[in-house]
Amino acid sequence: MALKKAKSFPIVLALTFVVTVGLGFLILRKSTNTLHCANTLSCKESLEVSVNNNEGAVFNSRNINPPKIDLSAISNEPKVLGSEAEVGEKHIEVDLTTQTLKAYEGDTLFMETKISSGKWFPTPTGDFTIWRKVRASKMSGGQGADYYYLPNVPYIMFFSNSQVAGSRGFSLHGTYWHNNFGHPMSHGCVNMRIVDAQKLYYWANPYTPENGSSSADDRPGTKITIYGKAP
Amino acid sequence: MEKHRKKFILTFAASGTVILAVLVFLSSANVRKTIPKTESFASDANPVDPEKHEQIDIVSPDGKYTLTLKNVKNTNGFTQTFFTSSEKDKTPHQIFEYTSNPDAAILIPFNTFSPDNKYIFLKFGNSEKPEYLVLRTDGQNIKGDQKTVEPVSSFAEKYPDFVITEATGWGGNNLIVVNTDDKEGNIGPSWWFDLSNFSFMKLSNRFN
Repeated sequence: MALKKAKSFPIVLALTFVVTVGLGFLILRKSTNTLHCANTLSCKESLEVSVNNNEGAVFNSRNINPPKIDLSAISNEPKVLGSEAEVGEKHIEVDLTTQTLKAYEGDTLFMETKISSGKWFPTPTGDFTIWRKVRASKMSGGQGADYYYLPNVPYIMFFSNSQVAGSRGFSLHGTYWHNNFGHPMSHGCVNMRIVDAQKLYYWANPYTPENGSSSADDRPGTKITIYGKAP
Repeated sequence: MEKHRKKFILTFAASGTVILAVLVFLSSANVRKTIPKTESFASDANPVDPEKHEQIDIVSPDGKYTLTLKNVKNTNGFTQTFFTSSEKDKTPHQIFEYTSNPDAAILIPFNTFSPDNKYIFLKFGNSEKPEYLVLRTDGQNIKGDQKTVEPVSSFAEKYPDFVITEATGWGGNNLIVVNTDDKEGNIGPSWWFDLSNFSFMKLSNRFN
């Protein structure tokens, strides 16, 4: 009996080791691919429309007065919906190496501007689709000197794909707390000048007549390709 | 027979361990790959060619302010006059005038406006030794009786071991992001040039 146990010991040991290492591998993959939110403190909250005109913002350990937002004034905002004639599919390209964004309708360039991608956490690369647009929301995260609290982040376009879930909150959005475009400054999102974000927000799909909308089978979101390596 | 079985088990366990170790290594290497590499990306300045551009309008990032530059050729070279106007007050107000030759023209960086539109910074000098001017958009003096402050020379006095290579933009309402090299030409740290007290603050992060 004792001899039988002694014989099976290496097998049990080997199996235990294999299972442990395998589990470790799976956990590592899961934690690096799916758990991190772009805004660690306001992860799901950031996906919803919110306006906080009485709150202050914090970025780079400095207090900032966020711009006031009037959701009822949305109908007065200038909107460029794109060409009425069908000139091709809308597509947004973000080049992390040059920190630039280009938006096309077919082969026609609609917009080209500088952006700021992830500095404290990398912006994901790949092919994405805008799955939700929100006129304004709150974003917060980081810790210590890196802590940020940003109400009234304007013109948010959340994107996702099969590897990067929409619930992680990666987006293109307007930025009022810095003006250092052309250089990484974000926690994973794509920061844009407010004038550019506004223009892109009303041009990109899904069409958003109110303060927020989500894509659906009959109103798909605009495709976004993000590539390159941030400086 | 028993010996062969043990050998088989040991080989199986060893192979499995090696394969899994390789997978774990590749996975962690993939994580390392996502950390950005350091590369330089200089901020473009809007070109000023008095032959081609008589007037340039630059809109602030929030669209509420406009900086207008008018170039006028004269016998000494040309004069650059800067005006600001806003959504609320559309009348352009002159805030600064500069006479130079085209080689020493002032350029307007892409990120010229502070996030709150209270300041702008302008670039002049050559690309190897750029210089900058910071001024208020309301035309008031920025420091004592000075209309402008020039960060490069005051930085050189305080921190002779570093040289400013580029001012990239604004990290906050009063904070200009400044990149430096050390005296040997190696990449140095980034700094804030803080307009609330006109001091420089060394940063732990480099803003490339």
